[in-house]
Amino acid sequence: MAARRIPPIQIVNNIRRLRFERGEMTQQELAERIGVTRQTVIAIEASRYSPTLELAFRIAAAFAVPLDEVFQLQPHEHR
Amino acid sequence: MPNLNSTMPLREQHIWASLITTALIWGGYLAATFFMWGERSWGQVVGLLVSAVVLHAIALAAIQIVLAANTREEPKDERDILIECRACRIGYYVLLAGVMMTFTGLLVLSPVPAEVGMGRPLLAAHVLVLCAVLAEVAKEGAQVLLYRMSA
Repeated sequence: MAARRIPPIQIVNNIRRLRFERGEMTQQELAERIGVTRQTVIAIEASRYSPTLELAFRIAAAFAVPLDEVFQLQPHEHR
Repeated sequence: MPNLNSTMPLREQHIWASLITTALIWGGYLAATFFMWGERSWGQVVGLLVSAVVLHAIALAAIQIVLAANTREEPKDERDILIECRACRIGYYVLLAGVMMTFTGLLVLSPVPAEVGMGRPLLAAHVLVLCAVLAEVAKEGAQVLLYRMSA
């Protein structure tokens, strides 16, 4: 049986907004809270790196919000 | 010259330094060996090889000390490990291709003539060193590229 073709999707996030809503938390502060480098926070925030499920939950926990408030799926935009 | 400390994280600086050191030291060693093939004795070649290994170890230690003294080191996170894995896979394919071409070249297509001088085993060993150096350069080059792409 052939696998069903799944339309391409991309993960977008609200990390930047959530940081500013939490007293303008810096990328470095968030990085220290979730145990990664600032470069990784920059890459996630810019949607150039999709974190593992574990790290995604740690980010949500750092903001004290559900996971789907931080990350959402949307159809892939062709550029 | 730009201040690397303010623009590039320690891990990327370390990879750049390692890439340049590997290319210079092992490129120099292989050039010195291949271009003077037949003019050097076995002992001279082994001496050069040991010098290259020692020089590389000293250079890497010096780079580590200088960079660590000027920048705060951060532990590897999942993105660092993923980039390292992808780069290792690229390096592995380069190494595999080099080894296959070496065996094909030495054993099947063109047997090394007797006048090669130091003989087939030493030539084969140096072609394999070349493959290893190319694989390392490909791996570190891929790491630098992947860091830049996701920065």
